Amino acid sequence: MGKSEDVFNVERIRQLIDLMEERGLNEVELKQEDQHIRLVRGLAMAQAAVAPAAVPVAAASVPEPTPQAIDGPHIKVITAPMVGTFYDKPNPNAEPFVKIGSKVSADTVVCIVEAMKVFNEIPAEVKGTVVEVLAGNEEAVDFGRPLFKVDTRS
Amino acid sequence: MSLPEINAGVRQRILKQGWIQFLDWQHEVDSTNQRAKEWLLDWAESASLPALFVADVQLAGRGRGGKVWFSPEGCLMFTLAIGRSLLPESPQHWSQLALVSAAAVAECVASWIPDGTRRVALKWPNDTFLAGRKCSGILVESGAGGARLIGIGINVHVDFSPAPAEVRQRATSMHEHTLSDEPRLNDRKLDPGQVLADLLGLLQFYIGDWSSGGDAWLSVWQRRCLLSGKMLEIRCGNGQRLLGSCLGIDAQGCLMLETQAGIACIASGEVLSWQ
Repeated sequence: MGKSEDVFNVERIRQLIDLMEERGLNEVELKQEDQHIRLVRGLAMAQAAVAPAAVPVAAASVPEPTPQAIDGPHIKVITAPMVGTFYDKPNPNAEPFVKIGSKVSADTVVCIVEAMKVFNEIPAEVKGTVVEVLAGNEEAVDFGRPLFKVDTRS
Repeated sequence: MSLPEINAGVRQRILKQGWIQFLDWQHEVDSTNQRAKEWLLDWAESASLPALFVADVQLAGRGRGGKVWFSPEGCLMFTLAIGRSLLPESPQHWSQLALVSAAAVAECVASWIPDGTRRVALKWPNDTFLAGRKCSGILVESGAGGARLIGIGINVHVDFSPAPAEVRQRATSMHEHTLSDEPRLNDRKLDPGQVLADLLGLLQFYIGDWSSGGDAWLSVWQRRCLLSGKMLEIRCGNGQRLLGSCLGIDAQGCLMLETQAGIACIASGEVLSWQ
């Protein structure tokens, strides 16, 4: 078998990575004879990177994952539904609405986004556990700005 | 002036208008917004909305950031609770509710004041000014089930003589701008209940128009913007201070400020000074 037909060809793996991103695929596994490689995106990818890799060269061609990335099909991102100022607590002396580890359901208020003196309480609209807080208290946020990541498995 | 004494007729008028589904009228409460919040929690999805919470005297009226609202008798104080069905589909527009409500207040105040067209102005984002002094403020909060609580205070017939000097300098009451000691307009006696009944009709119109994509509120702001053309100092929501010349309100309700760095559209902030 010629080198160009090798499934672990670097170019082909790059194409696969592009395809995974384009189609939102999180995992692809390739096998050829006694060698195999698994390409995984997000947090699971970081774990996969330390799994036994049959072909070190091919594995080295996979981009390094972001160490702190919390991603995957089970992670939902709560975004700002409007422009305004992000408040993580109902008033300056109160505890934050949610913290990392807080369980939320669809109706749980996770923050306030204030604009034009309208204090909009933002519900989670998803069930799970908060795994990351992405905005700081009193930060100016635009429409669509990621605010929280929620793990929907728990 | 005690509202219950004069307002049995007003209550009937409000309920007859058919928009308000629940009316709670107390002599004294801590805050009508707080009372509305608790009521919404109790009734949840079966709450009859829009609901109206009125108080003759509010002991702990609040403005933005916990500021105390001076709330004596003669000040019309109420909270209108509206359901999510009266909000536009896109949450991006929800923050305009303060401006929409203020447009209704300004039109209402102007209708009672001689030369109201010229003397009533709106200060971004939701204060109504009469002859250069504040006569109304609004605080909009969220309630259970996605409801919105529009807390409105209007100085209708307030005697400010016992108020702190700072309040006397900056605040005014509608009755000070009418033509006689017994203020009347078109043979109607000025009192908080009558103003309330008028205002509810205007709120129904402006909120309904806004909710279905209309911009009647914006044309009121364009006519009545107090800050347009003035030099402003603004503290943005994130604490940043900006200086610049006010270009008015954009279609989203943001305050447009021409600064040395360019034009800023401010969604969240407090106007510290204007001249």
